[in-house]
Amino acid sequence: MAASSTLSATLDRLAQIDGFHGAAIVSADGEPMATAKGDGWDVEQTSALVCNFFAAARKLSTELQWGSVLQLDLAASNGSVVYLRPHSAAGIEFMLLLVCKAEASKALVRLRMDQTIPEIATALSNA
Amino acid sequence: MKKVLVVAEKPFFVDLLAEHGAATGLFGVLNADNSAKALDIIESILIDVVVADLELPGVDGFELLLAVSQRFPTMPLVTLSSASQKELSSRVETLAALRFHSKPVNLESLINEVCDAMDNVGANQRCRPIELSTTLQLLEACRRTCMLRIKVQETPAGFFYFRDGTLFNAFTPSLKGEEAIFELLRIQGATLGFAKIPDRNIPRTVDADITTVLRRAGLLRSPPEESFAPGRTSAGMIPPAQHRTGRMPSLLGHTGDAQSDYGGPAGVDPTYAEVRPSRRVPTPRKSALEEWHESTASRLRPSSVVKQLYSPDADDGDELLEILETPPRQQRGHGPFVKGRPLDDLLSPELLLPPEDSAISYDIARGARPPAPQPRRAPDPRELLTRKPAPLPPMPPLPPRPTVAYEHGPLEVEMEQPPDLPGVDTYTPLELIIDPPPIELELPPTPLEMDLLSDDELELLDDGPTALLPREITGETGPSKAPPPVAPMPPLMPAAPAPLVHPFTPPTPPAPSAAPPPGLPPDRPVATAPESQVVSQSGDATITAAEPPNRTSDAGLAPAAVAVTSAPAVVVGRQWQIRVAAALSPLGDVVGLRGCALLSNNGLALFSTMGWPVASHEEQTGLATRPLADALALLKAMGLGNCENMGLRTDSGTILVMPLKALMALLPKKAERKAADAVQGQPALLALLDKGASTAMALHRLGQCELSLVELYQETQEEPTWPLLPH
Repeated sequence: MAASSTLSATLDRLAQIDGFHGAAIVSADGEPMATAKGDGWDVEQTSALVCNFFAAARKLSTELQWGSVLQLDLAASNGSVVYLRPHSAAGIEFMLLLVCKAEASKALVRLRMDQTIPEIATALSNA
Repeated sequence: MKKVLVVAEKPFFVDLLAEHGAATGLFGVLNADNSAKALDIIESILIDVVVADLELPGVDGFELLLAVSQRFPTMPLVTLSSASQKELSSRVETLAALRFHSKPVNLESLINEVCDAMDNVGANQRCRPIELSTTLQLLEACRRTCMLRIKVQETPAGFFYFRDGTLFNAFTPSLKGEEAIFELLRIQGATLGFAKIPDRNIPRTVDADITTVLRRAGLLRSPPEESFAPGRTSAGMIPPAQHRTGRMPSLLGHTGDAQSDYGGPAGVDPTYAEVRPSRRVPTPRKSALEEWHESTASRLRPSSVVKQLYSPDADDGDELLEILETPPRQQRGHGPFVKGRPLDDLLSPELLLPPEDSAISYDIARGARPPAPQPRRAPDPRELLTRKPAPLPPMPPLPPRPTVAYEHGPLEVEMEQPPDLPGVDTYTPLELIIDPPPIELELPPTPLEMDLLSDDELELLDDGPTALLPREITGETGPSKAPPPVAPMPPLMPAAPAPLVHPFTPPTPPAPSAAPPPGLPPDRPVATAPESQVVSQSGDATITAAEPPNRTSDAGLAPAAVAVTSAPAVVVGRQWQIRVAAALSPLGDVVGLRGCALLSNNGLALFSTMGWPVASHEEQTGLATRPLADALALLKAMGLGNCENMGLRTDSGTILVMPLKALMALLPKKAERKAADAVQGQPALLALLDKGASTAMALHRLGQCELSLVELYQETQEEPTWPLLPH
């Protein structure tokens, strides 16, 4: 319970980004761990699709011998951008999903995600 | 943007040159560290200027210089060497296509040379292959140690041996020293190359330097106090037209050259002389070479002598050693035909037979008794007008030229003589009128164009040019080829701005098999992975060709081979790939682009320019269709619409995938549904970027490529081979 509240608090800090639309933490096997905003999302379906998408992307990168995936960006036709960043360390695997509008600063989004990932990892390891 | 190819080892100035070219938008820079790679690039890409270091290891730089000069005489060449630029310019005849630059490289000066070369190409009419005399001067000026080999129609005619820039020895099968030099300088249409230096001491038989020898041969002007020709203007050089013909100023009435045997004035091409046989040639003073010819071998035709002294299968190296080991007196009779015979026999009349009697010459070589020599008679001027000209040496490959078509009416051709023909001051245009039937002229394809033709197209050409091509290039892997349909010749270069003369004719797809594999519905397209094979590999560049994927339905797939190379602009493939490559050419500007691919909606790479040596890259790039389909599903589930593009940031770089939505929007609804049913994806472009490359720039260029592909689709949608459109 404490971990869940910590994760939610972490995602709330991400919501301060201008143009923030929604965020989610998804486990490696596609289970939703925490969400923030994301109006109209089916959390279960989104988590499963995120997991599926990431697996296909990782396979593509591996087959092309282009290294391991650090981040996935998806530009949507409604102007939103989906950022997906995987984390895998010390037996803790999860993916951070962040959706912002196109006008959001990509550099700021990347900075906030860099800051947030260790916090999530710490919260999950303490749980 | 123009392209400059720098051929040098560890050239520090390449980056600076590339930066300057990119900043000014004048040119892009390619680099090769040896002549083989350089020639590969030149034959594949349209290069505007070549900057070549003459001091590559061995004689690599000179080999490149000679090869480029002989095969691409109009290509501007800027040479780098330690020799003084002033000295080279003063000693070596300045050709339009050849420029000198001294090392160490002054970047500003080099940029000026490159820009100057690009500006002047085509404007000067004196672009021609580097001649033997120029090559000798260059080797001396650059102080090279090498064995220069002279060939006539693939038969070695003689050698020049240089040691540290000094001409030590020159020899032909029958001559040595300066006599051999004179003999070799007379040869027309010789091919220059380099031979391995024998592991033994080669005696010195030439004491004079090149300049002196060339002056004696009449190829260089004497110093001012010895000058006798008032018409010569440029320092140290004879008039250009005289030099171009390669003929010596002669008083002999003929030079011994086959084309002068008609008895007309020496040094005048009979093609023109026949039109105006009464022209007179000024008679300059005899040179030492002419005097020597007059006294000994002036009646000889060098090519016929060489043809008969050498058996066709003679090996270069063995001949060279044998000549060196034979005492000079015996060397005069060297060879299967003249062995042991005195010099007078060598000059016997049977050697003066015209070249078309070469069969008789070989009978002589086999020991048969030669026929009685035909007495020479003065040629009838009327006969000259109908006489068939002597066969010319093979032409070097020509650069790509546009196709010219004349559909109706008589063809009028106006032939003009070159204005600088020696001894000819005026000329009358010769007009040929060819009346119907209508004529359609089509220039023969260059080797590069032949590489780009499909098998079916190649079979339409006369003389079976496919026999000249490697099987890997032509893409022939099996005998089960359907006979090609009779079709008009397709356009040779799709990127050319000129309108296409003939409509695009795609290669015939393989016949569909009767029964689909088990587990698949009957109407589902089944694509087998193309079987790739490496065509050539040098350094980082790997070119592979693949057979067209089989298909069992008419849901269109790639109709032809796939080309792979590290350079995005280089494409070896068939007609459709060439047109796609032209559509994807905007990607060539993206810094850090490692390759791109066009993916079909069913997960197959239809076209790719990937640089890494992976045999089954088509399948691997096709894997991008799956995450794209997943991304579409994810965005739909989140209510965000369709996917504009997808970026995978990895620790090696970025993989960009952009679905071709504009193209999909053009597809008929039924076909679109069918495509969506077949595979849940859509056609896409994939770009592979290095770390640090600009994804924004790449996305911008991908958008341009999509527009080009849409235009291509609109142009070709009536054709049955559009790979994204299921029929």
